[in-house]
Amino acid sequence: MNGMAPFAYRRVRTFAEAITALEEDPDAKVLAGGQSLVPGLKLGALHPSVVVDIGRITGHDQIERTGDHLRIGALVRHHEVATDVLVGATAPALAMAARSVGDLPVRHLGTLGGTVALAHPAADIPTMLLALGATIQCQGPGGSTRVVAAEDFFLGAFRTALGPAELVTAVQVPITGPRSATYLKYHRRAMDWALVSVAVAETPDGWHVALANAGDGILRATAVEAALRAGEAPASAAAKVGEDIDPRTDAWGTAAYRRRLTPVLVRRALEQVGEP
Amino acid sequence: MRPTTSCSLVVNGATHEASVDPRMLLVAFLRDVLELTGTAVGCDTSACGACTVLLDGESVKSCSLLVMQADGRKVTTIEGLAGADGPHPLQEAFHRAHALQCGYCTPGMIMAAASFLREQPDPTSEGVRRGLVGNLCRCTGYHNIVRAVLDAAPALRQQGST
Repeated sequence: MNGMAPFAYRRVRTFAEAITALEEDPDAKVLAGGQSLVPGLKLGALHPSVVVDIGRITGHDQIERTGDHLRIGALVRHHEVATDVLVGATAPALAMAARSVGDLPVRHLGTLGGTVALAHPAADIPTMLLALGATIQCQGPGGSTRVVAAEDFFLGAFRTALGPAELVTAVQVPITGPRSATYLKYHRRAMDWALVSVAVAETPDGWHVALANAGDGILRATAVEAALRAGEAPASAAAKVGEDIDPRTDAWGTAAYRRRLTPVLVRRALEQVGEP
Repeated sequence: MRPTTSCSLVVNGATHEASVDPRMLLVAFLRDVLELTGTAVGCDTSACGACTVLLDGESVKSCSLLVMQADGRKVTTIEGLAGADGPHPLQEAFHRAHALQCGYCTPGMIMAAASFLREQPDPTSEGVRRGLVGNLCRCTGYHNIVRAVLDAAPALRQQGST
């Protein structure tokens, strides 16, 4: 049916139940908003034995300020991140990134935990989280929990630090002090994935520059960051990005084009945040 | 034997219960089970928006979610948009502005616009274009669609809801 192999459907009420289901069946797949899972199922690319629907779990759809951080539950939809007043006030660049995901219907269903766990190499929100120095809260078997820094969480295209029966439960974004940050997405058609995108944020340990679709997965442009720490101007620092990237050729652009495009976007993003 | 699961949805105000294959998409439930064929399948790859309906008042692409995701929730299709006293302002505006030619994208376009205007009741034309990026039209060049959405906005602001 629809190009999909048959699967069983199981709706769970807690993350613990979902984790148990994943432990019991390594071929299970988790359904949150389904905006990546359902297209993948339709393409015949995924063949789960059971789809575990976590979309009705309560208590993980809140956005709240907890001291120095903004805590966003894994089941918060992109549209809420894009329009929430607290996000707009404390992490507006994250709202920018969320606003640029797909289109409005996709943003109505897609979830923060879903995009973080998938780690698509062109994903907007994970790229911004990487620049913001966010931390990812995870839950695993036996009620175990751990917190992983974004730079240790995103390991490459569709690869994260999550274990096979581990789920993202929340993301925390540091929000103390005045911060400059911006998200710049380049694509030729409005609904396309980023050809390349740049997230820049001022953090307590200096500027972070994160890139989407310029390498294997989302990445930090450490050569650019070092140049900024050394006091180089945006154009000069941006030019160093060639050392950080290994872009691919795909249907939307060649590696060579991405290589030409990336330093231009990095420079523009740095100028946007008024990096001296 | 194929797995089945049961669902219950309110579609255009009426409750429908069914036993379904878990693989069934919302669009297939609407078109094939309920025979509400106003909602079209265009690209079937989540791009064109011809399949757009409202789920609890928010636009979703019905080809891109399982019917089980709509279980226990309210769905509105193009057939359910008009009120007892006549066509919805968007339907009237699309007619007046000649915002359709073949009409294939039109139900999805109108449902997407209805959801968009709920969230941005007084948009600019640029805002409308951004708000409807998920809906493609091959016939009109979008100009009259944007006009129609802007034309419908004041009446909807007055109504206060869709």
